[in-house]
Amino acid sequence: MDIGAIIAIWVPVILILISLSFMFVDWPGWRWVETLLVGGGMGHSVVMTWGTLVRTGFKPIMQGNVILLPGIIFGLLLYFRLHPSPNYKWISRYGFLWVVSVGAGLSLGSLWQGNILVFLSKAIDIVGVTPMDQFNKILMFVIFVTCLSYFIFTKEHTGVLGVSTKIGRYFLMIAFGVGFAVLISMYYNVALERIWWILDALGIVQI
Amino acid sequence: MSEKTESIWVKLQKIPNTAILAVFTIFMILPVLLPLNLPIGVPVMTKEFHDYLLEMPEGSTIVFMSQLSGFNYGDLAPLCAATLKLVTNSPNHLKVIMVFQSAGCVPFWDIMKNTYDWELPPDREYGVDYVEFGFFIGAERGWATTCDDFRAMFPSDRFDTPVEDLPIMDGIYSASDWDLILFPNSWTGLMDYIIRHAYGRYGVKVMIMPAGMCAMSAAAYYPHVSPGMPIGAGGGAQLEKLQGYKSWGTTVADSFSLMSILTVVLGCVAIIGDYMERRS
Repeated sequence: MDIGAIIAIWVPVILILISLSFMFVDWPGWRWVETLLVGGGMGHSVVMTWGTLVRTGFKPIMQGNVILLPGIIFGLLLYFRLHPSPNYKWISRYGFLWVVSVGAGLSLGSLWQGNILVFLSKAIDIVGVTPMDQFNKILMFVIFVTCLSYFIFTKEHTGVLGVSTKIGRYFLMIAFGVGFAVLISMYYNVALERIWWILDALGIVQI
Repeated sequence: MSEKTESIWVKLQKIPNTAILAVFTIFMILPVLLPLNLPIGVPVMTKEFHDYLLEMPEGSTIVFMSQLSGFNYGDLAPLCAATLKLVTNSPNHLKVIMVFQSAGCVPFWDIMKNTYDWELPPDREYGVDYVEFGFFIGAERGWATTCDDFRAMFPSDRFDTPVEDLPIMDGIYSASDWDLILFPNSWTGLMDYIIRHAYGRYGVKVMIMPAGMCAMSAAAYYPHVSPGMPIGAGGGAQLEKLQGYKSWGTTVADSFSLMSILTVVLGCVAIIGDYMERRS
């Protein structure tokens, strides 16, 4: 095995072990690896983004697709935020203007069809095919109404609204609990995959 | 005068956290070293996902919009591998167009082949049956452009082959030419706009393969937007079972089951210990 292959195995193995050591202790080695990861990730993103900009922006412009030029110019204007003189920082607002307005237009344009209509039509659909389906749909409707009522802040949560918000709060707690459990399982699987990678790299196991 | 001896319950509560973590780590690794093949149940959502993909018509076009990256790799990769195996081995010759959400996403096929020792069927050809386009920039704006005019966002593939030279892309210009989006994802904000544009504006079904907190939000899209939904590495294990082979997903499921048993046992011991201590 040549020296390059040895380094390619041992450097990641050591870095992963230092990362996993955070489970037991917070120490400078772990913080160094964390910084290395953030810095490396940022460098990778910059290089990849530049390559994509060349592919989708600069190359087509050079081939005569000048309609892309304003996008590049307004994008470059964003960097005036970094100008040392405060007299020029306002120029970046023209870049942000495009980013915000296009973003808002796209979001609002697709929000009704993609989110609101879909969710609303399913939430109020309480007619099931089978008895179990019927039960599920009614339960979903109850969850929908009670959870929604929890977010009514213009009226004091007493009486019927109080009962509804209390039930809604329990449903929300269940939902967040499930979400948190799945998140933990994701972290678990990520850690396990790294441990497996180490064992594989060292030739201890093979899948 | 003799000293009062500590009960077993009090002693148990004095076990240092580090020792408990060490035991957890050993239990975690055990199934990797020694396959246990614990039983795996297949929920309806995974079965529906599996059946939907198998029943897709001949030559259907699937966009694999991946958010598989370093921080969710362990959870999503087994699921993605099992799904791609299912899609590429489908007798209906499904076409797979792969795009990434960000620069940090993992270049897929190489990783799958290197890590999972998984080969594509010999009759599948790059550019004809599958293609990899790299990542799109611009978040929601980028995705909206990809849906409206795919070739504007991706004039060439990841290896700089012009899109016109790729037979798989014949007749594919926008989201209206796609049949399905497979969407492994662990970021709720991303899921929102992917679905709004693809499903909201073009009516393309988006099969979500969620991990992490995203699974909670993704459930709201089942089954009308996503007709089936395997979740995380467990979903990968279930798909492996449905396809009749065992790989990393099964190992992860073994490990997770073992850890769950240990957690329940330790939880019971802690509750009983607390009760016994209060009683004494």
